[in-house]
Amino acid sequence: MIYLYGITRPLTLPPDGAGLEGVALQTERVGALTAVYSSHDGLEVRADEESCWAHERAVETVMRTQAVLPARFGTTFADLGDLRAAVARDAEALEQRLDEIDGCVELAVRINPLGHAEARPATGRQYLLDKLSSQRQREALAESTLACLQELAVASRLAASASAEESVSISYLVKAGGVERFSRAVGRLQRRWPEFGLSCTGPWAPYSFVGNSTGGRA
Amino acid sequence: MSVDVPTVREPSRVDPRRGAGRDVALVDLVDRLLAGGVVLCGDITLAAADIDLVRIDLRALISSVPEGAGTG
Amino acid sequence: MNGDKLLVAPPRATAVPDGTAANALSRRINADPEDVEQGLAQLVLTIVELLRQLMERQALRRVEVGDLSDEETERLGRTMMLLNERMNELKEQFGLTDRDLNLNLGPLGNLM
Repeated sequence: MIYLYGITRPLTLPPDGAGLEGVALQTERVGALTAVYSSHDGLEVRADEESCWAHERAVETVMRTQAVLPARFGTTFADLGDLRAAVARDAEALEQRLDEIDGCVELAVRINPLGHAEARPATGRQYLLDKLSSQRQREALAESTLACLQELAVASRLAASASAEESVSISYLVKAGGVERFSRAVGRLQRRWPEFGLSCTGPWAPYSFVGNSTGGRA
Repeated sequence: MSVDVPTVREPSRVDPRRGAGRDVALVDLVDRLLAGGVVLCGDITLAAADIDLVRIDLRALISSVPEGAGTG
Repeated sequence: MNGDKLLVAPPRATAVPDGTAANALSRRINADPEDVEQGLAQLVLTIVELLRQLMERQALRRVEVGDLSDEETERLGRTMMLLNERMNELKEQFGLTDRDLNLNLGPLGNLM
């Protein structure tokens, strides 16, 4: 079974590293593209912590030297023939996306509401008004965050979340050299909005900017 | 004057070596791994995939709720 | 690699939206196929929570628009508040966090 990590341009050297189960990374050239994969006998893919990091590490091994489109976790093929066919089918779109994310990384910003330690509202009406108020605050913060961080990013993507309870999640496509400046900007935002917990993680491979992910466009 | 210190109840499964920062990073990573990335026409193979069909039906339910539908 | 991905840490009080992410993760994805009851509870509560949120969002919209009487607003608010508390009790009973109830639908994104 073939496990796919990502699609990139042809490499001069095979990537030095391992993927899931510690199996060595291999490459398969398909036209103007190259697939980075590992080969397993009957792999049971489980999205556990170790596998998730292994997948990301494998992608980042390639990302150190050139642009790579990360594959969705768990993408497998019966054999190389199937992999080649799949890459060939989408070759044009894949090449275009590679150009779009070239030199960029993804940063994840999250706005978490602070834990609810408030007293039980005295009336039903108050309950609704409190909810309305925190919903508006969260929306205002999300907009403010988007607006001010957008200037430091190539693109942004607001994760679709119908839930008003959960944290707001925004992905940013940032030039590799602009990560530090971006982090500082998030830090400043965090100090400005102490009642919400802002966090920023990365750099990640650009999972949210390769065309297949769901979520609202910012 | 005595002060009540609220006790923080930690989930029993917490590994004390885990930093909260690691958790935040893990959550962000998993969100991206499962919902992002290129989807080629391979098989998305995940254990416990049997339940996916039910989830998709639920999603159809959400999108069919009309805006401004009256409450009872 | 794991720790060095954190560029800006959330304030301590919020660290992770709820519970421990890694534990929530393993419950969400590595659900023991033998634990049918837990899996069922998670599924049922997900549906209930979804409906609760839909209703609450509708209630908030009505309040915003202002087409409810004081009595209706109060009644609606009390109902939503009790529903919310009941859900929290159920979640605690089954050891489920909000993240557990947000099923990932793969290509369709998250449920909520």
